[in-house]
Amino acid sequence: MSLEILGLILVALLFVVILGGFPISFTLIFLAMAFGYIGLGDRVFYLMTYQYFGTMMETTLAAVALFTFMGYVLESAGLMRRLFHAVQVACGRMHGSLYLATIFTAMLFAAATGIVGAAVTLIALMAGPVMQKKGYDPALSAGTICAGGTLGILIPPSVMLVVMGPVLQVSIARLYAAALLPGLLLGTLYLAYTLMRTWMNPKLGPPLPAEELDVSRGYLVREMLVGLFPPAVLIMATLGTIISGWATPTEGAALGCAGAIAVTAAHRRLSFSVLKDATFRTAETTSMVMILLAASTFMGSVFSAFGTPQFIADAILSWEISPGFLILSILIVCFILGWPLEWVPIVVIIVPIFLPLLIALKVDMIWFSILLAVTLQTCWLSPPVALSAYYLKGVIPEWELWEIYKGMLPFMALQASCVLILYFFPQIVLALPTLWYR
Amino acid sequence: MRTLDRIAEAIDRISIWSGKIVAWLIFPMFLVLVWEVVVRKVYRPTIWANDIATMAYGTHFMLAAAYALYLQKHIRTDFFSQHFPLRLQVALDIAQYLFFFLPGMAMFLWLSWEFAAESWDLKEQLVTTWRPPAYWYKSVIPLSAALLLVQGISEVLKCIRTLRTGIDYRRQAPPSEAV
Repeated sequence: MSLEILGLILVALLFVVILGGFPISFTLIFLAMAFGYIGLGDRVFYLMTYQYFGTMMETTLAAVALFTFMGYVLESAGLMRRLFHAVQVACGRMHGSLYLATIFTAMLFAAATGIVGAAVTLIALMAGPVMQKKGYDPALSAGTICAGGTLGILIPPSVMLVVMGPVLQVSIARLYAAALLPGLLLGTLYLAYTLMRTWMNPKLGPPLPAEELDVSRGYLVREMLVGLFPPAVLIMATLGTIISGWATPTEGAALGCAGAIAVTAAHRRLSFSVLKDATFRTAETTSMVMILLAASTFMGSVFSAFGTPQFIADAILSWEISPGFLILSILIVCFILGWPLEWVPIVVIIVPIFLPLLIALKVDMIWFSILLAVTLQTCWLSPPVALSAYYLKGVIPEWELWEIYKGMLPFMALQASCVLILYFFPQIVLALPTLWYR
Repeated sequence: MRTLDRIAEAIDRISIWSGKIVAWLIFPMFLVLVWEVVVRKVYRPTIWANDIATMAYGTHFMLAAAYALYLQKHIRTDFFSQHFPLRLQVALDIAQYLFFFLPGMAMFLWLSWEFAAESWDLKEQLVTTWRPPAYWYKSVIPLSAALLLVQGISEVLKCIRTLRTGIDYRRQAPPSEAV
């Protein structure tokens, strides 16, 4: 039997075993070792330690730990409350002002942090109870909070783009520059959708009572500025330094950690227990992501040594299907896998399988990464593994899970249409990176 | 059988402590990098900051792996198996620990042991400007493999206890907390 076929069997078996419910990382290590030994003999053992140590030497990936820590620290800062309140009061006379305030603060927070869990929790804590009290529609509210919070993984700085960079062999700083406009576009789509829904059916988002809106203009402006200050500091410290080339993404993430601690202290929320909690949670989450990444790097190297990805690429190319159709098909595969899986296994296990195919098609990897990143937004919203829904449910237990799911469906449609827009107008993705990095 | 339960508890305690100790490496990791950015702007770059951050990062995620296993944090797709009867779930878990996990980790321990031992023999240095010793850092791999192996044994013991008593002693995974 040829090695390429052995590799195909490995992938097929992998899928079956993954569904058995055992931690994916360890299944990967064992299967790659066993199949590697059959196909490559002793060589697989060197490959294993070499690949693990290689991952440990990849300084860029330290940004995963640092962004996670930053997010967890910020989660307890109560950062956006004042800004949220100011926006809410400023547009309080219109219908659906809370949707607007939620999406606006969510986009800003997404630009200040790189993980979704913290963003959804924070936004749900801030917006959920108010929306409940003012009689907002639960489904649309839940969808807005989840989709808004999920923007954190697309709008840079983002942990997903950090992981995607090495996998697709593109620079993370460029990915960040490329993700800015698409993130903005997606947020604008959400905004347009929620406002259109409330315009068609004003009952979905009643205006705020007049006595709450009775504040002076000066107070409003001051609240706005004070509220904007912390996210602005964080965005400058992290995204600003990375895109301007002052700092590497890893260093930018480290500056973000320092900034997050400073901002939390300024909000008088910093305590030893906050830091301890963030420290322990960071270790758990980072270890989970990174062990999976290291294991799949090892599996990927066995797989490449077998020549299977090239074999798949050659086979598919020989069918002479149009490249555009192939790209959309890969995205659809990732979308479907996003229902049962989270983004980490999709990015580190599935995407490398298609890498030679993408290279052979001469696809612009930055463009593809962003298309993929927007597609994988749906991962967070698609049941049964819809993490955003779980975070939201954790904060507001009164909302039923089916209601949350119902509310998220239209937002998934918006994400799909965003993918199509970016597919037909690659300029939106490529404008900023070409402008800044030439 | 009491002894077995006590062994599992002792192992869990080792994993918890190892995880909580290495978790603090996040502080040196970001502090040296912040220092590097600042000092590079006002004076000149250091040669050590990047290496220290890298070693902190690798040690952090590798050694916390057993802690994450104890907490059941490692991603699994359990939306099929969670509907199985408890005993079947546990039996499946035991089978996969015995056939995949323990042999895999034992191999990993042995191979990484040799990998690190070779580095100690050569008094190897990392190939960076600063050239710190590589053998300490490479020893992290067998250490984390050993911690994982031992924690795997504890998980099997807890599964056996569950089979015996019909009460689920496996730690319940929290709604998974991905980034």
